[in-house]
Amino acid sequence: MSEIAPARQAPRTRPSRPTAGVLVAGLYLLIVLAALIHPGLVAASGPNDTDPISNLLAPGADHWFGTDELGRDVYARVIYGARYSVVIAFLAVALGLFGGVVLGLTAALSGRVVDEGLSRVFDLLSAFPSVLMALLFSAFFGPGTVSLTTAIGLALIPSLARIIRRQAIAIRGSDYVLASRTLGHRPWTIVVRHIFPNAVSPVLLLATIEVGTSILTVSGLSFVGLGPGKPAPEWGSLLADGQAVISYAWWPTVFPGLAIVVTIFAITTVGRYLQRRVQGRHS
Amino acid sequence: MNAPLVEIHDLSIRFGEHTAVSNVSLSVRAGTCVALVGESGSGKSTIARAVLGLGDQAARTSSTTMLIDGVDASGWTERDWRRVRGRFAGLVLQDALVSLDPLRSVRREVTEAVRAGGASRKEAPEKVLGLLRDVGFPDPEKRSGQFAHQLSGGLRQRALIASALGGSPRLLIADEPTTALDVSVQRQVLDLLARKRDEGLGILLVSHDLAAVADIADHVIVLRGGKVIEQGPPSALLHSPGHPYTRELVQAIPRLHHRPDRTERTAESPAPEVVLHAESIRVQYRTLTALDDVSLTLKRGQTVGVVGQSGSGKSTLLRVLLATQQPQSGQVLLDGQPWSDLPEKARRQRRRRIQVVPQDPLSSFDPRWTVRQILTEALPGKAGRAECAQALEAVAVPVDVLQRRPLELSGGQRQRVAIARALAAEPEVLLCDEAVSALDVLVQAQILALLERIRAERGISMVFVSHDLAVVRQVSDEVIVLKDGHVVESGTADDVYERPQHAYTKSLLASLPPALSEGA
Repeated sequence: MSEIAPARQAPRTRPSRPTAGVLVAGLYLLIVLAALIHPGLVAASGPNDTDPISNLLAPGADHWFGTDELGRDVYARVIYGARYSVVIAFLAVALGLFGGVVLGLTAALSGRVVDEGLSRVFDLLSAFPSVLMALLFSAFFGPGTVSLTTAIGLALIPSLARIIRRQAIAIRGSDYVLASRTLGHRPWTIVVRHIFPNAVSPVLLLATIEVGTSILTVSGLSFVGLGPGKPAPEWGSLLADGQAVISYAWWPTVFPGLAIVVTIFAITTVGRYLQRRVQGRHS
Repeated sequence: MNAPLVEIHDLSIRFGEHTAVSNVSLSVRAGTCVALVGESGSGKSTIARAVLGLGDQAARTSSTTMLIDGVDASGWTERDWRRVRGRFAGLVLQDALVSLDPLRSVRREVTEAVRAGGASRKEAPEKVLGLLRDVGFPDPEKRSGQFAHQLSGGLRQRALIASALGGSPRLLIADEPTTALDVSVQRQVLDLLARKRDEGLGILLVSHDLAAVADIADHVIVLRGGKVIEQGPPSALLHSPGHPYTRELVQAIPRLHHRPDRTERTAESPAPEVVLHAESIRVQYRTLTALDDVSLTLKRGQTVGVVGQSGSGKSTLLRVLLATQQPQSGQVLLDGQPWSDLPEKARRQRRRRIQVVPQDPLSSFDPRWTVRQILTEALPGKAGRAECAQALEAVAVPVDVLQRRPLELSGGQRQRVAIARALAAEPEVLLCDEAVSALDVLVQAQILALLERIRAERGISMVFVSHDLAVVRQVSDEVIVLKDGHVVESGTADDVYERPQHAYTKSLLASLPPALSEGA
């Protein structure tokens, strides 16, 4: 017996088991979740407890991330800041998703006139970057959490709506919708049973990744002063505050920066993993 | 003088624990055609690929003898194999649309093969044209600049064969080269292969279609589960199969002039009433006339077969009967009442009377749903597990399938579930759209038997649409032959098949493999 073609490499395993990276990212997100629900659990002091005597202390055992020029604990401010950055990003995506689903499905399932009209609206909306949108809302309604959330959410609508519209159109023409039609089911029943769940479920996962990207947008916009305003410890405004002292104290800037980067990275990692899993199940 | 091009003894291929092929021996000589026949999963394609040293990376291949062109190929590296591919042995795959690069013209595709075979840059163009002419590619000077998507299935397959022949190989390995093609095109491709064989090419043909292969093969190897079940000359296998499995395979081939004993027709009612009647249907897409003056009458408990090649308007006719498409003129009556002319709202309550058995059942199921959910949607009222189980029982599928998703089922089971769903609506008419075309011949025979039983037991009428003439012959009482949207011939199945009037019907029947025409 002679071996002709020996196995050169093991067959590719399906991405069903999470890798160590995904597990670490997931664990990190659990901590973030704890910080959202009950920040006092994760941080000992409050975000606005000033202590002028011990200002600008370097990171150490008492203050893990050091203190800022007013003596506030940077660690506590980063932890409490998640309530702003992550929650605003999350709400913005929820708004974008809601708008995207409603408008995307409406475009796909109404007549041609509605579809054309809505598609042009999507084109128009996507021509506005979220920065411009945020400036617009701040100008009309004053800067703050609501303006910021609405602006980012609106900016997300067109891309999500387009995906949902395309999915819904494909599903509307599918054989299983035909089968359901021939069974005499009403159009509304078919939308609820088949079109809505099949069009939206792939987008839900995309949206989790969108939360990560939106954190960056939130931080960026509040860095330039379009955020919740002082003394709220939003991560972007922490970066802005730290800027003043960066030449002799690096910690008030670096730690919030790290929080932004690591959180986005963790959300993306877990989001991509979930996406692969779901795709693996359907094909 | 005529040493085997390929000689393999005791070939075994394993994927981990699973043995895909065990102890298969074969040899192909120049000017002969050896065919590997079996259902999906029988290991036939795996063997064909092993002859080219192509295999899944996880596969472990072993054999006692492996001679390629008289040279011991055991222990060959990827590099050694690459020298053989193209020049000594060419490969033709089933789906030419996938096998041809969508961004390259036919000419470039074939030129690459010719150049790899050692032709110089100068002589290549002439050789490419010669090859294309040789495989019957029409007007190669002009049309070879076209891309795969601009060609018909038959022409794509010819282009693919031309590029496989580009390196002037002495062996051609063809994996299901005719499966996706219409009968007359299939005939042309088989004739081409037979001619190349007569010119001295050795051919290793892989197919699930015993009847088609029997026509050009000199030696047929029947495979099942990776083992050789039986082998010999095709006529011997067809007429006196030794192994029960081969016998089953041969019997499952639908015959043209032989009809299985049909359950007694509804003889007690002398003139069965008309269930579905389509009158002078005309459908126009911009400049293309998809259907022109097509009429069809379906009586209770009977089956009307609709035959035609791709593009003949079969699918459009089905959509019109189902009233998912409006004809420009003409109308469809269901039970003597308007059907196509109704507003959708009024039609909705009656939709359950007409159900579809699809060609690809998998895509007709919501991918998120289990079999139970699928059946629950179709059953009237609030159906529980018992009703679903009963629906499955009617199509002979085990009840434990209820919790599974269609993706986890075999092709035959999926089609049975699709039939169960259609029956759950208690229809009067079943529209079968190429319902068995994608199935292996044995499964196909089982599904046809199931449909026949349903027709007899429940008195359901069927419209059976297919490009497969022999299958239509088996199930139909009346037959309509469609060509380019026109009815070229219609009548009882016996009349159309035994005494075809129109030249087109005659040519279709003539292009079938002779094995089908033989009485059993």
